Amino acid sequence: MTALLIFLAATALADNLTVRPRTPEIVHYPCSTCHKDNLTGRRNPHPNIALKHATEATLTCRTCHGNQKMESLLSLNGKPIAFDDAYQLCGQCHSTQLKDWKGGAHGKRLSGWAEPRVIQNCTGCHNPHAPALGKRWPATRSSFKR
Amino acid sequence: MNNPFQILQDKPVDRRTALEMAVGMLTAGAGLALTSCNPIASAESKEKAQLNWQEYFQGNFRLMSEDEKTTTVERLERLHELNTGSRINVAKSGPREKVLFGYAFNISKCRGYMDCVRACVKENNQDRKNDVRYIRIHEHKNGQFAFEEANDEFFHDVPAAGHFYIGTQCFHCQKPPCVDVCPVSATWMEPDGIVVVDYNWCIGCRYCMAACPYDARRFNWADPMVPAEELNPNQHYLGNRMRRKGVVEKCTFCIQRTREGANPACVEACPTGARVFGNLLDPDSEIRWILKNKKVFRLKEDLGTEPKFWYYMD
Amino acid sequence: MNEPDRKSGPLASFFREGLAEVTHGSRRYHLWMASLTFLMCCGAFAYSVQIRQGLAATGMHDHVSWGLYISNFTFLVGVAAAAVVLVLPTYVLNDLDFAQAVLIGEAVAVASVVMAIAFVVVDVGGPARLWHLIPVIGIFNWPRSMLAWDILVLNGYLLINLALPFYILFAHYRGRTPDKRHYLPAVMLSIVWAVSLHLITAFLYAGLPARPYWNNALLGPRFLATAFTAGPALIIIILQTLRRVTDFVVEEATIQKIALVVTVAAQISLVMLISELFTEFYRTTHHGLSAQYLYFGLHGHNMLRPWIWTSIAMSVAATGMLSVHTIRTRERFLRLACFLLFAAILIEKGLGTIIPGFIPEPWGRIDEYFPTWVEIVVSVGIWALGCFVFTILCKIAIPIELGRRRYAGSSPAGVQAAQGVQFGGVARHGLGSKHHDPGGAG
Repeated sequence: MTALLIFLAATALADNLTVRPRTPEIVHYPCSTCHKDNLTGRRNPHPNIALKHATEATLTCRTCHGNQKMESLLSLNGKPIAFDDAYQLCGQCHSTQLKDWKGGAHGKRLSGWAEPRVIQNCTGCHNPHAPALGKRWPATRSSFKR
Repeated sequence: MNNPFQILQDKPVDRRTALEMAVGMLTAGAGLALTSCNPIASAESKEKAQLNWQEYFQGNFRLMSEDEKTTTVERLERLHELNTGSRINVAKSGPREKVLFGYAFNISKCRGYMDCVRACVKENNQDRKNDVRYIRIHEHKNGQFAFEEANDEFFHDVPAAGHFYIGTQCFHCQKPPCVDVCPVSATWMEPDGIVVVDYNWCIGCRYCMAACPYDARRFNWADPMVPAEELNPNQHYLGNRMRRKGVVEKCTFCIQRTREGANPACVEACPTGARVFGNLLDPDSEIRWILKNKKVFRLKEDLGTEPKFWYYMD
Repeated sequence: MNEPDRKSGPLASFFREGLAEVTHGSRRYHLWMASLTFLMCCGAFAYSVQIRQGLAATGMHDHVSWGLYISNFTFLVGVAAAAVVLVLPTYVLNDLDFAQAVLIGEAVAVASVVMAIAFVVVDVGGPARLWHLIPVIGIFNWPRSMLAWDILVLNGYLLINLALPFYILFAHYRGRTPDKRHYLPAVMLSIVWAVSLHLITAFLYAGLPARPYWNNALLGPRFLATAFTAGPALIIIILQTLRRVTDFVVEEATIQKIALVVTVAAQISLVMLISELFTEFYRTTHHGLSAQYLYFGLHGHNMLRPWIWTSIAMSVAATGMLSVHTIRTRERFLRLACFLLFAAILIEKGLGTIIPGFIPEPWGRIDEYFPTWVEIVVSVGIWALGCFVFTILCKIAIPIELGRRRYAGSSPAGVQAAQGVQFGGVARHGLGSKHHDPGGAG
């Protein structure tokens, strides 16, 4: 049901699938609420966000967010990418996962098998700043008794 | 009911129908006699006795007409109401056209969370007392595929370093050995590919359990028990309705959900997206994409069972 | 002992006299029947516990889903099939030495089949729903399900082994010679049927690729070999016992011929065992894990190991004894060897064939099995039922065969003639001599 409602507001991709929008879930959005000017050389702007994504040589905050138009993400080539299309950004480095995700081998389908296909951005499962999934305990013990 | 003799005289009735009528008359009459003979029983217990009597004589679901199926499921719903006071809905939905279900499991993605196991137990009203589960998750050491060496009793932080996880359940084989061996044809493959069991028809000989190479089937060695507050009331005759002791059950690809277009509970519950479900006959489906573009394999393929459950990796 | 009653027909008389025979006997007879009845009641009580609790009262579980009941069933089908060992020489080869023993053999067959059917009935989870097997009102999945085949051949075999001896006995009862044209086709049928019976039971297991321990070509022949060892061994013990406790005469030659069958079958059985051990253990694979578990234990689980090696030791010792002519001809040693073989094969079929087929389960777990008291008491009860049925059949048949019970309505001359007439029109002087006198009468 939720998927159906979101369907109306969602981004449509070419191949008959729908991606659940990301922007409603971002807490501080739009970014220009706080950031009126261009950012220059500031360190540690969001102390609550630790960047555990590749190495510092590979990416920093600015790699994805740029330092000018904070409402969008930034492609490697400087083109703006909407938050709702975040997969386009991630797919620049993770092209294999992007291909799998479009096909259905990566990520989780939100709608039933028969309904129109609704999937979500990478950020639906992965925290973009610390994308690795951590450990946890299993939901239940084994049923077998020794 | 019309004068049965009239019916028999007026038009030719084939032997099967005549027998059905005879049995129907017998059961109705005998049931009526039995229940009416007891002057102190309440109307409710009389109705219960009547319904139980009729249920005993019902035929194989696969051979029933639509009307008979309706009677059957309504009887089950009424019996549940009489026994527990609560209402359930037992569906009898048939297969969709041009649908053949298939399943894919990503070994790279499974992290041993067992959310699928818990969801399956809840969705399918499995026996809590005897801890019946359709799904098994096996923890393998890297480099070791043999299931004999895997551990299915793990209970620690997952995923454990140096290990990978494989889940098994009924694979809904396209050439199911369990269907061949059943002496009463209580189990069969539906047109949409789901291998089902008619729990009222099963005699409990467990030959199907011996024939299954995948440990897919479970037997109700005792009366199954589900706490009333945990009972899933959305049921299907061939799926998650309450079973009784002495019958075999197994994964049904959540027939009560999938025939309505939803995903099975395990697919829905898996947080990593390791489980994929869809229509093999739809060339645009995710499952077809996976079969075409990923390196897939099936388990014990050499046995020729043609399981509709593939494994793949990133 | 005959009650002259010319009013009733021969059939009614047959059953009435049979009933009289069964309800009268020596003190030892009544004690025997009473003990069996007591055991059957114990079995019934244990079964009632199982009905109430469900099969959870047994030691079976999802990974070893067949246990003591089906093991006994498998063994007993073999014993039943072995009646053909006596039927073949008697009717086809006209070997008179077997003439006395064949009806006993048929009684063993009937009792075994009754027990086998009983074991299946107590094993199913829904015995009240067994009517689902009946064609037309239920569904009978023949020819695809091997279990459907087995039900057909088992019940057919029971019918044949009831009809054929009944025909012979009834003819003798009426002082007539059984007509070869009537019984020979049934005899031929029963011989083929007996072999197919046990082969089909073996196919139940051999046809399952899911269980590599069973899925081999030798299982059927191995079943036949052990059946022809255990069945006739039991018959030998019974014949020796009957010789002692009744005045039923059994020629030593008869027993020796049966003993020869047992010997050869036991030897073939051993050869098959060697073949199986070699195939499983020359190079072990994952398909051989069941055999490893059985013979050597697996990952610390070795519950069945002492049983199978005891069984093999008994088989080897008994086969060795029987292979020596001077030992085989001594009654006491023969009886000992037969006991050893019967017990050895009971263990081997029970614990060594069915249970290891399930261990390890398809994904490699080792979940062992041991029967509970419910299973053991029900099994003992069913064995008591078999002994009960067998005793009844013998109690009816033996007096007729000894000439003590005859239909009072048959002519005196006919009765006299029948005194000495056995099979195939060949007469014999009295009982106990091997004098062949074609065409003559006693």
